[in-house]
Amino acid sequence: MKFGGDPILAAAFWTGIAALLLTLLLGLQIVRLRIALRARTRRQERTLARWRPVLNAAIVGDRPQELPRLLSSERLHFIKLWVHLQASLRGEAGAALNDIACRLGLDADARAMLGRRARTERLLAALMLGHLGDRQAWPQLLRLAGMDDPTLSLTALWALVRIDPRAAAEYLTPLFIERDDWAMSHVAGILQQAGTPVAAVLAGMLPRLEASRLPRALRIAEALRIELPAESLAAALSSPDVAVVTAALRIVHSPLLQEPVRALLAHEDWQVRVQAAKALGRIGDRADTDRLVALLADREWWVRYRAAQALVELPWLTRADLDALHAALEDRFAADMLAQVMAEVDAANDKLDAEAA
Amino acid sequence: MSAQPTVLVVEDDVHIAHVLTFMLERQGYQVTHVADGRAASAYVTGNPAPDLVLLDVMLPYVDGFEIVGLIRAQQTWQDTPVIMLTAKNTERDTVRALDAGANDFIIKPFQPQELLARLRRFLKTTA
Repeated sequence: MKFGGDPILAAAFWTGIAALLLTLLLGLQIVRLRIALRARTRRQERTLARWRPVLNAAIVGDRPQELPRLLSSERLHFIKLWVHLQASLRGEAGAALNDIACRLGLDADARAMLGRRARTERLLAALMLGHLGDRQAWPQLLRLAGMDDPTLSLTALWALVRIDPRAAAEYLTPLFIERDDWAMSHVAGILQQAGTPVAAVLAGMLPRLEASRLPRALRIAEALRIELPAESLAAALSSPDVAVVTAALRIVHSPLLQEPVRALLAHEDWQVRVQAAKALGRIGDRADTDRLVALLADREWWVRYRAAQALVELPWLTRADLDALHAALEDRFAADMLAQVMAEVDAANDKLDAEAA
Repeated sequence: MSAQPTVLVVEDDVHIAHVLTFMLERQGYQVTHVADGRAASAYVTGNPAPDLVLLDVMLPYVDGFEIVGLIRAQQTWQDTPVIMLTAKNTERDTVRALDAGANDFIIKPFQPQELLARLRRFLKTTA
């Protein structure tokens, strides 16, 4: 092709040709992807149409004598459906789904999928093995749990807890205390099934933990609503570290700790006084009413607010008692705070009444 | 009540809707399924009451609490038993569902046999 020796014209021509070819290639790729997507959707629909009746029948207690062969093209779609149903059902239905999966040999398939590169397959395999409670997958899941990918590792940890809560608690509790980059909501979600063994592990670990790790350990106990031994909490309450003391106060539920909590009402840090007021509202007795009333005059707004909330929730104070207490308060800030919290309670009660009506 | 008790299932999860429909039809119930809150509202305002409503709380467009309110506002639906499907760890939702007028609730993940037993209790009462 001749361009009269003009290099600019030649460059423009070949650039145009390259752009045209790229556009065609892009178009072909889009068509290929669309065809692949439609084929995948058709495969999924065929899988659901073939297997949904089998799984539904198993869920309601019909154990099929013979199962159709699961095609390799159906495997992932089947596992997705199976995992979804397992997450939505419990009791005998879950056991029936496990029976179907094992008879189809999916426990072995899932263990093999854990070693593959595809992330989706690994995730589905970990979920399936967790629901199956597959002890053989333990070493592979432990390896997966140590990976950098947080979704993969947290799913593997969840599966470990499902398989053996006690053994998982021994392994996971120190790990979760160490890894403060993992969100507490995820940690709590995973450990929820292992509350009792985690409580035992935490109680054993607390006396030996470094001060920097204690707040995280106590927050795990709070998230799982674990009651730690009073002596462990008493030690945390006497810590010089404010973060440790506030974390411990948040999980105080035993009247055995009344004295250390009362002592913290006069702590120099207002965050400690806030948590101490709340804790005393939970575990205090009638003699603590005056202590909470005194906190209504604290120099920090939040301390006054939490003290007022604690007072309003005390079961032995009636509305008439609270009105009398409000009338007797000489400190204007204290009276205003108690009036505000009482108004908030009234508003919440009115809303509940309106919803019930 | 007709020979075949009728149940309205309001559930947006297609897989769970299939399970519920399968279970209920096997028990001899006639099932109508709607998949979102808007369709449920339209059904409640435009159709006669079924013998029972099985209602998910979390629905697209209009949530289950509003649907219960709507059901209780329809004269012909006022006595229809409503069982709500609520998620685990949402005690407030459970209280709210009962306050809104639901007769009972089932916590997800649920046991199919428990769900059927609760349904039977209400359908016997209305029989």
